[in-house]
Amino acid sequence: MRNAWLVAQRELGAIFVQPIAYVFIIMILLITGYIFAAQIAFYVLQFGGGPPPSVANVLGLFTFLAIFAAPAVTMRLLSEEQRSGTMELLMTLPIRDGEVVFGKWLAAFIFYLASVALTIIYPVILIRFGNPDVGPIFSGYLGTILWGAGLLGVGVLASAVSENQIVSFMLAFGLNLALYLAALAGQSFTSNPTITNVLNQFSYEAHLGGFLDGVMTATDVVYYILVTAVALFAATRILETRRWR
Amino acid sequence: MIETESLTKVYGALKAISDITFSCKKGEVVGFLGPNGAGKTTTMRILTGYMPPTSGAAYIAGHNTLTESLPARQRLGYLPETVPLYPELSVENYLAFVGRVRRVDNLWDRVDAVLQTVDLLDRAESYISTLSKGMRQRVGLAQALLHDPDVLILDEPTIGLDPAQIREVRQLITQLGEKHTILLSTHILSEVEQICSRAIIVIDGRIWADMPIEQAVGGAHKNLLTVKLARPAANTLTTLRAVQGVVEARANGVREFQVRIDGRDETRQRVAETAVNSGWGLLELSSEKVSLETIFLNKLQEAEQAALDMAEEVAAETHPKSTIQNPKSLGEE
Repeated sequence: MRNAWLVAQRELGAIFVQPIAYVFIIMILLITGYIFAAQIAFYVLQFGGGPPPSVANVLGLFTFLAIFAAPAVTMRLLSEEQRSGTMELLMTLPIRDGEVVFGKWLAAFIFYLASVALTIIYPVILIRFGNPDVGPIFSGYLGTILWGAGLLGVGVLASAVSENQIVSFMLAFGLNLALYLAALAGQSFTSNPTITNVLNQFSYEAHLGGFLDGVMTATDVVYYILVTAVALFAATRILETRRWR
Repeated sequence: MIETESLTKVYGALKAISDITFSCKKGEVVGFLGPNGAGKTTTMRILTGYMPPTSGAAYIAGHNTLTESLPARQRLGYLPETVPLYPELSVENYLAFVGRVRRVDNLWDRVDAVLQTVDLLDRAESYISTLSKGMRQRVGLAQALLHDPDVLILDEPTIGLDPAQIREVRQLITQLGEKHTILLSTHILSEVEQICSRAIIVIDGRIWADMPIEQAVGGAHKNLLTVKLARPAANTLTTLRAVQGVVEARANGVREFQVRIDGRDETRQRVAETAVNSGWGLLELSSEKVSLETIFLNKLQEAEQAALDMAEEVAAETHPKSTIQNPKSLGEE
């Protein structure tokens, strides 16, 4: 665990010297800010006609953007180490492969938390000038955090597969999208509700709605934690098999 | 300190190393020699726990590199062929990262000490991306030395350094060799003669020689004489060849001749007598010194011959009646 933290610390330093971190943050603030402002303007102009402003829209957009943005953050994590030869150092230092993988994910996750933290300005504005329901704000943020954990786990897995960052990015993006769209695929199985139901359970998107509406279920929480754990476990295994080649 | 038992590594259809067995004692500096692709790096990667062998076992300070990988890795310092550096870190932060993972006590004192050792103290705060190749090589070396390991494995430690730095690193290795066990690979044969106490020659994934340097190198070559004459005659070569016990003689210049003999002292006496009696004006008669280069090239030739013989044998078994013209091309059939 201590080693994982050391790996994470080193990686965080590397993330923040990369322009991608700042592009990521600017993009998120720009797009979510635009949506938030538009929502407020709509509410004010409608005089009670529209739905009261909430963070659900902002977080919905944030989580959607994360599908593209998370692979951009994770693509270099293990790929770069493999390409530049520093993997030979990591794998001959007294660190377990699992600690390397977890440390890498942890660094990406901390970066993700920092980006999520930047959007807290929106609920702060709502609470200052309105009277929003705090429950959905809280659960919405928890859902957003869990959502990111899973996407980053998949990203680390993709990064373990290839030493080419573009390949890692495309692979992570593809996996994320496949998970995200599982419910959509399920809808086409109208004749067989079991398949629809199973695909719904696999769907990354289907488990987020509850959080945004203020309804937290253990199933949804466990789902995201499971995706993260399975992805990180698989990434560790892939790293181990790289030794055998 | 380092021990291997018939290490074999197979990559797909390619056998990178086979049956590598050797051991190094504490305080030995062992040179690992061989042509490119002989399996030096593969062997080193197995020793450091970077990859497992297909069969066989390796031990670092008594720890199996596969089953007790973490304690084995803790006891060794490794400089890979591609120096593993993080360009976005400063030299001292890079060393601190490695040191923390290795749980080095008094970390910053050690960082200063190794930077002093590799003569980079003035660049401690520089980013690694701004360093020259030679400096990077030395940062890599510092990384391997940081935790004062029992065993040092260095894959071409002097590559990319300028002559003055090469000398410093060689001195450093000699100095370290007093307390540590060092296995280093290199292409520079004179380097091995200077700093190693033992040389292991690997060709085509097999050990072809494992010998102490002092005994093998520098001694007189019993079979090779150098004869310098003041007034060689036209018939000198034929006369020398006719001396009893001389195998071969050739001119090494106008006044110098190289004579290959059967190794007997009587033959040397007869060569000297012949030179004096013929009135050639004998200036010098000496045995040639054995260099690692001659040994290495001999072994290389031996290995090539063995490969040819093997191909012929295989060919004879598969095509018993056909006459083999060119055994080398048989591998392609």
